[in-house]
Amino acid sequence: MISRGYTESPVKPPTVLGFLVAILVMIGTVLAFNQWIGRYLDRNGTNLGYRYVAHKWHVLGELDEGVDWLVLGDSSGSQAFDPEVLKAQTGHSAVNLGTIGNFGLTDDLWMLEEYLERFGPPERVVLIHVYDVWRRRLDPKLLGRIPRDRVLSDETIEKYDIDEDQFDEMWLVRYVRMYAERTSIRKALELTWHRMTKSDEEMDELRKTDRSLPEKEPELTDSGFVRMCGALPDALKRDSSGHMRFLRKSRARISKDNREALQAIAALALEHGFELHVVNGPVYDRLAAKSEFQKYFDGIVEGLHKLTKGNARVHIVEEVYPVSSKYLQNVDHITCDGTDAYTRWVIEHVEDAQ
Amino acid sequence: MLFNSWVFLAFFAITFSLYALTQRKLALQNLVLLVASYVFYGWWDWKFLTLIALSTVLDYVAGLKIANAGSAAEKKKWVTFSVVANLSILGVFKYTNFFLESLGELLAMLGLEAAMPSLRIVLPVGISFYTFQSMSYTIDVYRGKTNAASSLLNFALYVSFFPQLVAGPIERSNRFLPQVESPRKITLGGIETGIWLMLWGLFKKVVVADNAAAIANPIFDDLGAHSGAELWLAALAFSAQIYGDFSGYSDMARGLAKIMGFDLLLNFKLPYFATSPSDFWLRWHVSLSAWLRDYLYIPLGGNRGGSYQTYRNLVLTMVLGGLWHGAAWNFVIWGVFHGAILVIYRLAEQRPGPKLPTGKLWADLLRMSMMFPLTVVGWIIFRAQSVADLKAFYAGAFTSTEVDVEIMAATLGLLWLPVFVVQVWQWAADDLLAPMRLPFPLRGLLYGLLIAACITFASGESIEFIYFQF
Repeated sequence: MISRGYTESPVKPPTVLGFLVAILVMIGTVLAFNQWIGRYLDRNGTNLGYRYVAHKWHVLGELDEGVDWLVLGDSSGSQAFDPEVLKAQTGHSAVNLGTIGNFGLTDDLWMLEEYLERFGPPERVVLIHVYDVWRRRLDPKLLGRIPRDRVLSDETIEKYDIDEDQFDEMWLVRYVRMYAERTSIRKALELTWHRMTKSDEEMDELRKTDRSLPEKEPELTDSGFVRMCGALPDALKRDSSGHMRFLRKSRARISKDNREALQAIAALALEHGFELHVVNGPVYDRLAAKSEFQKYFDGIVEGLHKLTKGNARVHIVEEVYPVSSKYLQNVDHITCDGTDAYTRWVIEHVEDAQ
Repeated sequence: MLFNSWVFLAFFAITFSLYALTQRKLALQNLVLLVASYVFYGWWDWKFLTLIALSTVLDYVAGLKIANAGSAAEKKKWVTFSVVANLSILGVFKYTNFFLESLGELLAMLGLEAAMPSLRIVLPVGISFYTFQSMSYTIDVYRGKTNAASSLLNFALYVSFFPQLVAGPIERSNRFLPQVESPRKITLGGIETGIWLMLWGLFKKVVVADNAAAIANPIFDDLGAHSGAELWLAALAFSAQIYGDFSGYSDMARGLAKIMGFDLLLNFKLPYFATSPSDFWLRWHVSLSAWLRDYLYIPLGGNRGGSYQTYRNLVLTMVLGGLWHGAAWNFVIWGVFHGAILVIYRLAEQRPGPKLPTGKLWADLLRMSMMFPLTVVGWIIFRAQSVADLKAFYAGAFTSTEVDVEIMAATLGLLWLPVFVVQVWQWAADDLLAPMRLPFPLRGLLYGLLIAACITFASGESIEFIYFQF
């Protein structure tokens, strides 16, 4: 019998230099792994929100000249307003920097400030947010994903009242992605495995039972527009029920973070002389037809008017764009087949506001 | 306070700093370690401290009385006192309800319905470990294998040394007490070996065991709802979990001790490479199997009698070893199972006729591939929380295999792969510290990858070590 693996042989004591080399390589390996994971997540992470944030700030950073229309907002607008359609219809240039709803208007303000500093005012700024974003408070953790130094500055901490735990979370999200995005890493690996071993039909079946898998893979374009194709009726149905429950029990309100950010953006419109248009993202037509929705939406519009009263640069679109289920992935996320019409609707309403 | 927690990291940083600062004053340094050990243990429940203090004082006094006894009878009286007292404490806290329930069931079977009380006794963490360690001291003093401890402080530290207090290895007084009683040296070699053992243990715990638990637990918690394929996958996942969990703890315990200049027993020696049941017990929880051999099997007569006595002693030792793990019938059955396979292998070795050749790799691989499934079957018994669970497992184990277990199987495979690779390396090199023979940069790379894996792939929830409950 080969009897092996019962003992530990004496280890030669390391030299101080050798030990230091091992420790330095160890630290370097951890840092390099973290960096590599970050790149992997930017391409394959299943937390699409984080990918959008990274992409949009990258697009902003890569801009080498100003545009006519600067489109900001959440993911509903990010995948609904196509700058190419604007260009084709009006000849105006645009960039779509909409990110995700949980930022509220905070990153809109930050992006606008950076844009103004680099290029001066655009002709118009279009803020596209879906109706329920206005009530949300900023999730400070998300700020960690913004690739700018101001994130961890004292000014930011003071302004957004970030406590120690939130700061730690922000710091982890920013610098230790291998920890902060563990779920996304696992899901991405799982997804890679499925893609290697399953047909498209099997993948569709799997998504019905595992909702944590991203439904579709987005195409992130250079203009910032996120192209997502393929309606998702099941997801729409689930999301629609959730929105109805929300509307039945909630009153329209605008959070403190969003009030302050909107007023700051409106003040910049006055100061720099650009037109600011506040537009609602596309909404599922059956939801939009509900009285609960209309009541809530009217409440938001009223609140927005109050906040921007007396500012002639601010234009609030008081209608929503209703979309049929065949163009939706959920209540407020439109498919690539519907973006053309939505973009034209926005152009029309923005130009009418003049 | 789990080793894989931030609280423990802070605790160890403070303890180690004080330990290093008191390097030249042994008594003070031991006092630092004793206080730290009591803080560590009291972190679960400070009330448990009275129990460990009681065991300590009891065995310390018994040890002194045995050492200073004028006659063999007096020695015997004190060692008997120590053993009875220790087993009584263990019996009260660990086995009272089990015996009451079993008695109730027995009476019911005899048609004598009796409402047996169920007492609300909290099982102190690690009681089986420190009781065995403490008790072995008095037995060894009695046998003349070790001297009585030089002071209560040193003995208290021997019983409660925090790295191995709650889940072993179960140390022996003639090996560990001298380390407590003489100055230790903090060396670069000890620190680096400690780092390797800590990282490897941490990886096995937080990456392998906790993630394997996430596969095994939902299935074992609802055995009736799963197919045969899922049940067998859960059995494999539990095999990975229990190995990663327990050997990971042992490695971390040894690593912490090494950093401070102590040397704890090697508790795991590639157990899934075992070629037979007896080889398995030379590799799995070695400190317990050696304890059972020295303080139970040999006193029972070991293999000194005829075949029948040897088999009886083997089975009895394994049954009591099973009961040591927990007060439940599945542990008894687990003990019987291991006793039975030990006997069967012995019978097979003794029978005339052709046998697998020795010294051949292929023959050893064949032996391993026969032993591993038996080990897994044992773990199914171990993991089942009752006899009813065990029945439910086997009722479903051979049903449909159509359910898609692909992603769970792939996850388990990926979790086990690094452990398997390192273990094949350790086995081939016949050295459990083989990774420490790499050049320094490669060692650094290995440590870095282990840290990165622990950060990235640690299971979402921190699961307490399985063996804490024993």
